[in-house]
Amino acid sequence: MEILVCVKKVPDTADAEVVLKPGGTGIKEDDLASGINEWDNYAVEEAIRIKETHGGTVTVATIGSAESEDVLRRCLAMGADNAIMIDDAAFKGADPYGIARGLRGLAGKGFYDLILAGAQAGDDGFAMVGPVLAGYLGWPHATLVTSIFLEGRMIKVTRELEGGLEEMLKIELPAVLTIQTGINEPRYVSIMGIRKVRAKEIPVLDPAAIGLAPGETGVNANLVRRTGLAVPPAGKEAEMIKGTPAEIARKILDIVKERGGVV
Amino acid sequence: MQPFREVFWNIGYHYVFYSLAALATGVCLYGLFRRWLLWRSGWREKRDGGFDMGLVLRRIFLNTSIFKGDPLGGITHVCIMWGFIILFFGTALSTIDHWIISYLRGDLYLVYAFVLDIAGIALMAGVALAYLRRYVFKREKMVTIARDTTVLVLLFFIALTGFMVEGFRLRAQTLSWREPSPVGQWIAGVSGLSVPEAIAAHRLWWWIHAASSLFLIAYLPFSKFIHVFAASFNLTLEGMRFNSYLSLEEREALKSDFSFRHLVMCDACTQCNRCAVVCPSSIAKEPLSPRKVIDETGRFVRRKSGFGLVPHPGETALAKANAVEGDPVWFCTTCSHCQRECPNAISPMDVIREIRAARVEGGEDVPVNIQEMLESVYKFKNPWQGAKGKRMDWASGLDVPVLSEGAKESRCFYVGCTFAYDSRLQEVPRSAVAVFRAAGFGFAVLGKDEACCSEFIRGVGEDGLFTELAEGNVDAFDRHGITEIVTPCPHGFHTFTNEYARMRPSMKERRVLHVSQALETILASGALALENRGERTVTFHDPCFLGRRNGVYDAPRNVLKSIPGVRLVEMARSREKSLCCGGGGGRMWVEAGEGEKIAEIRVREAAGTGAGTIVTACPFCFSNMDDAVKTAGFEGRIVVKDLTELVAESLPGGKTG
Repeated sequence: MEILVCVKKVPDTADAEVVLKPGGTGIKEDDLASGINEWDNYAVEEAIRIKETHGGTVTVATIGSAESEDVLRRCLAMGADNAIMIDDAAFKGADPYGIARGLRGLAGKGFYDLILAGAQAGDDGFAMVGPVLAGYLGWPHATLVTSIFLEGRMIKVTRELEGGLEEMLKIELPAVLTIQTGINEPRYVSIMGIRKVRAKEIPVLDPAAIGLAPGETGVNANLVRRTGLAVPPAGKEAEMIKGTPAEIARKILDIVKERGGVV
Repeated sequence: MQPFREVFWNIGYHYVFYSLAALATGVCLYGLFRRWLLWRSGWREKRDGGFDMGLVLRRIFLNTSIFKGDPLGGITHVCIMWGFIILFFGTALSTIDHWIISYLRGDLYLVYAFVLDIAGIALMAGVALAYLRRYVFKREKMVTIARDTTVLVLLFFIALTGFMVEGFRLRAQTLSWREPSPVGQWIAGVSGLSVPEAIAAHRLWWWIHAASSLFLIAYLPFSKFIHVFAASFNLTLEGMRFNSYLSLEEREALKSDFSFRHLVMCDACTQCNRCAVVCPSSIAKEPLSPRKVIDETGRFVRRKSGFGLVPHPGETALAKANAVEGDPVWFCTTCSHCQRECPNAISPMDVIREIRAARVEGGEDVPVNIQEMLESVYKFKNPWQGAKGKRMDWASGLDVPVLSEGAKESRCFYVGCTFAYDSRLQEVPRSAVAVFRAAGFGFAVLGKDEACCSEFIRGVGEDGLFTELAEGNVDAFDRHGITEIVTPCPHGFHTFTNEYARMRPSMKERRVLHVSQALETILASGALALENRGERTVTFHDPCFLGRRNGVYDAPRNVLKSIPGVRLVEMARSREKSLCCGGGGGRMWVEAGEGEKIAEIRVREAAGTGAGTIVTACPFCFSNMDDAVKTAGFEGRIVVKDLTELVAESLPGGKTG
């Protein structure tokens, strides 16, 4: 089983105070920590588990620059066999279609049975690259995957639906799957582990090397254009509950009951 | 005729005896050689320098570390050990007398005979005491396994048969002098045997005595007696101050699981269980027993090393993650009480850290909360997921000089993550600033350049991350020309003083003080006139990393005594016997066991002193005990305060920024 996992380095915005750049073109990343996109981390772990059970190799790829190398090293330390970097110089401002074209070019250079990607990215949250890549390749795909079972050239997957439902699918390989968080418990990656793969070579490919014409990348090739970024206006003022701790607790319980939080 | 003893009197077939003796010695040497090879398969530790030979000799030969806290245990061991040594060398002396130079004659012989008889009495008395303690009084702390019984029975039998042989000989021989052997004479008297009977009995029991003695020699390296060598050796290694610190390069090159000293420790353990009696996790009935860790690790290593003559270190390489099964290793608070209590200087905590390191490197079998904490330290440089930009929030409105923003000062006040990010604990560095300013004690903080000290990162076995952050901190100290560090956190204090200093020479030049030591100096100098804020009874909880780990017991107490109106009462477990709060070694991020929490036990003990305030000087101790005051139902009866807060409250005019 040859598996390609597409990963991305994103700024950690979950608990941070996000500040817009002037003009609303992006966010200030100076004070933000960054690392592998959370969904991608689950995808890498899942690929490695499949390899550990069924054999084969795991290749991780990112469209990025020297700054993203640590994310690839981290994946190698987790147990990926190879890492490939596609130089992102030509991909600045690319939309999900542009990114998917880049990955299509890369996928065309290998003999992959399965391509995994995170269900979405923590920064732009498009959740498109996986499905679009499948479209470009003409492969079947499934999104929000919560489990994968191999059955010869078929895979059985479950997908997370709304309302607590789970959908079971049978898909023929090769296929593209986008992975939902919680599919597994990703292993811890130690600094010692990363150090041990520090000498491993990571090839850097330019668009030409993966068969992309100059017009296929970058802002001008975009089908989707970002026109602005804004902090949504604050909602109604929060209600401050006053009283002794016991009274506060009772009032909170009442509110939760009122809204149907407690059955 | 001069008094003497004819060696091999009444005994023939000397070649049989010598063949058996050679066989027993051979088996013994083979066993010891195998152990030596096993120990040597471990990696080499480095020394901190210095060697207290007096201490080592006192521990080995006077058993001072066994007497500590258990005088009767000490007496028992001294009786058995010295009885055994004297009898063993007594036999060796008579062999020399027989084969090389004849000197056991006359008065010297009489003294020799008397001393050996006394040694035999001591040995039997020691064994009897040990038997009573283990099987009759059934001391709760003791765990008994088959090999404990084997060694006691064997020793008793050898001593008893030795006396019988002596008694029958004295009955059978007609001597022109009276041998000063009270037990032998007594047996000769009460045996009621005729001379021919005594001669026959002597011959029979001589062979039985010889056979059982030789069996003991052969059995020695395969029994609990291995501790005779391993424990003495381990006490020496500890006295030579070997430590398990390795640089990342050295750690990467490791080809074996445990260090030489760790492997010696496993053989030095006699399963006395003193460690489990003081282990906070064991006390709280959690799954960890330090004794079991050492026992299981020893078995693991021996199993892995196989039965061949040469152990295969390659085979065990980095398999140590499985040396102890399951969760127990994550319950260790690294409080070091086990190590301090161990008569043989075994440090279960060091072995646990190695096992944790292997698990962390493997990435699996690491509790999720620990993983998240490590990821937080990696990303945010603090374990609390605090944004980098909020590190100085504690100082808002105080206008504190910040080195990363250009302040010039040779004394660094290292705040520490928990004090910087926890909203309740932010009061502690604020108090320190108030006291320093009132006393004219110059300082500056690192600001954005401050990163987690990572003491507990090393404690959970993430050596790579520890090194990365430690290097960054030392670089910051170097860059800002820091000559003195003052910190309110004992964990930072410990790792700066001990681990950073092993890593980087510049740290050896720096003076590192815990804030309690700085406060002690400030108050002793008379720079502050503290005011009485009312009569209060307080008790001091010794943080493990301040007290047991670094011997700072008096500084915080002297500070408390300098505060007018404060009366200090001690808990039963204080100073080196202090009970850990349960927060060290990454335990702040591990779910506690089912029963009463360690900190709840501690708060109960503190409340028992009648004190209204528990004073501590560590962020983890504070958080754990502050929570425990609530969960154990002591709210309103006792409060937790940091030492620095108590000083600041007594500043003239109250605490001011």
